Amino acid sequence: MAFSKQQLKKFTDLIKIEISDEKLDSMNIDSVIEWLDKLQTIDTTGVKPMLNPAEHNLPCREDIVTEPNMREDILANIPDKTGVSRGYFAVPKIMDE
Amino acid sequence: MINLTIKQALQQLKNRSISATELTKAYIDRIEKYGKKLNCYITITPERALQDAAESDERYANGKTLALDGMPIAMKDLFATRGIRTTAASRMLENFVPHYESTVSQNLINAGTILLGKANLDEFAMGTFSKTSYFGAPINPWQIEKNLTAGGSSGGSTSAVAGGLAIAATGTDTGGSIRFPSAMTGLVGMKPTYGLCSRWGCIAFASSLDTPGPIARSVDDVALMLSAMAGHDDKDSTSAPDAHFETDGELKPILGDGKKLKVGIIKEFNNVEISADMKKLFEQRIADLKSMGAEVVEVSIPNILDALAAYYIIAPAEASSNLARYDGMRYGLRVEGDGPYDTYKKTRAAGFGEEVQRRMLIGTAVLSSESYEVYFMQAARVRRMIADSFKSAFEQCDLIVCPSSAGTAMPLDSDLTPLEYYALDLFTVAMNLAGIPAASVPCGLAENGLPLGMQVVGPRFSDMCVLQLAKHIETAANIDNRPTTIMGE
Repeated sequence: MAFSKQQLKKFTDLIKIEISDEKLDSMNIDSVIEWLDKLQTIDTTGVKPMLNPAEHNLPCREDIVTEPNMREDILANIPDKTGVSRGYFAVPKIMDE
Repeated sequence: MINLTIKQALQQLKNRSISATELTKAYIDRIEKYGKKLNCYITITPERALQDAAESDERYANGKTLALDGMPIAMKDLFATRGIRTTAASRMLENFVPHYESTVSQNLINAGTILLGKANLDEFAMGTFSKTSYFGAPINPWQIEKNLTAGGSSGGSTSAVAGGLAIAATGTDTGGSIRFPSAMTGLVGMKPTYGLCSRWGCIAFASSLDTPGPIARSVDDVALMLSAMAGHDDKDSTSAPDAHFETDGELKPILGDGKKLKVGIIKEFNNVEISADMKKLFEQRIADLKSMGAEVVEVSIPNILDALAAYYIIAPAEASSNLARYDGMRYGLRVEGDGPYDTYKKTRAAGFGEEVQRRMLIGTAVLSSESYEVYFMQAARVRRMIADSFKSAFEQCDLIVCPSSAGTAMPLDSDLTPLEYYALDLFTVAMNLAGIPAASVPCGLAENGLPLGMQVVGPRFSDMCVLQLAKHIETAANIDNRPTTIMGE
């Protein structure tokens, strides 16, 4: 199925990437999607989808803290350092005054 | 010294005929000489390497050596390394310094390896030529004047090992990213069984396909690296509970002395167009296996040629959700915009290269409510059919062999469409969908003097048998992949 320009624009909005109309045209998304359509012809009736090949027993570990007190380490890579001294992530303003 | 394999270097270190510091310095010199030209490293860590080497020499002096003690390696820059910049070859993570160590790199530290640096790759491992890297493409050391690709996405790793700028390297293989570049550079590369090596701390591309694995100059070396990298990890929920791989560095023959082995050839690949060289070398190696007593049978994986389309639905879908974490808030690049949404949009537009954006867009398209069933779930069903076909095939044979690529390394300036690039993964993606082990091993040199590789594929957790057969092929092909031969000095 082909996606309209409008749908593709919607997808860029969903993944929050600024892509110009010209760039979107040049990215060949349509030709890739068209090629993916060939899978539609395969009869998969009754086949269970396989989402991960690790279908062995997947044990859960105990829900305990293993590496505590890492606040400084975690804040070290923040792009906006203004909140670091108070132990916060500083993010762009979300609400109006 | 840079021509030594791991096996030889370990022997010489044990004899004390060389020291870990001497060996490391030889590699650091080589990196100084060729590192920029080959562009195989994004970050080099010579100080850390010399410190690691001094500690290794102490252990040799005390007789308390580790399995890979003193081996100078390159780490694909997708593995988080504590205190050392880890970029995924993306502008998004250009200045990211992790405060944690990936399980695989920690396992290699625990085995006594020495970190020479972080190897170049395609951005977030998305590509086949390593030229989607924000830091420019690494170059293939073979016929260096021709500016050929070292393959991708682990192209920095293969360029470094083939050029003698590391004794071995780590890679990750989501759709062929270890096997294809290994084939392009005359190296051995192994995509282990999914679940054998932990993905924890390895920057995620497509979580159900991503598989860390080793790249080296010989099958024995790959086995030694894998034995250090593999193992169960509580921090990776898909890590196999009993994951382990052990070797003493001397793989046992799986053929000869009347041993019985059934080797399968995939019928559906017979009609795929490959170069005359690849066809000839593949047939020669099959003839060698037969002469060693292998019984060669034809097996069918009916939907294997559809694996590519299924892969290019599943991998972008998983990528689009994995890469949603890069929002410019807690780490990585931030480009300020008008409010939070505009900041996200500007950050991702500037931080991600075009191929990453393309795959995120395709992934979002195939996961959208109107196409989820039609594309994503259909691909997941085809994936099951392919995995089941491999299972049935392994009831008729022990292992499967097939080409690693259609031809030799192409020039970096080849102008291919996205679909033409994707088609290069034709021989490799199905094994990722099925989660089964596959190694690429050199099968000879083409007429143009460049190496070609073929794959050995096995059922889940048959990693040892895969490498045992690969070793027979390596011996039969007998190519000279010493860095001084490849680079002529």
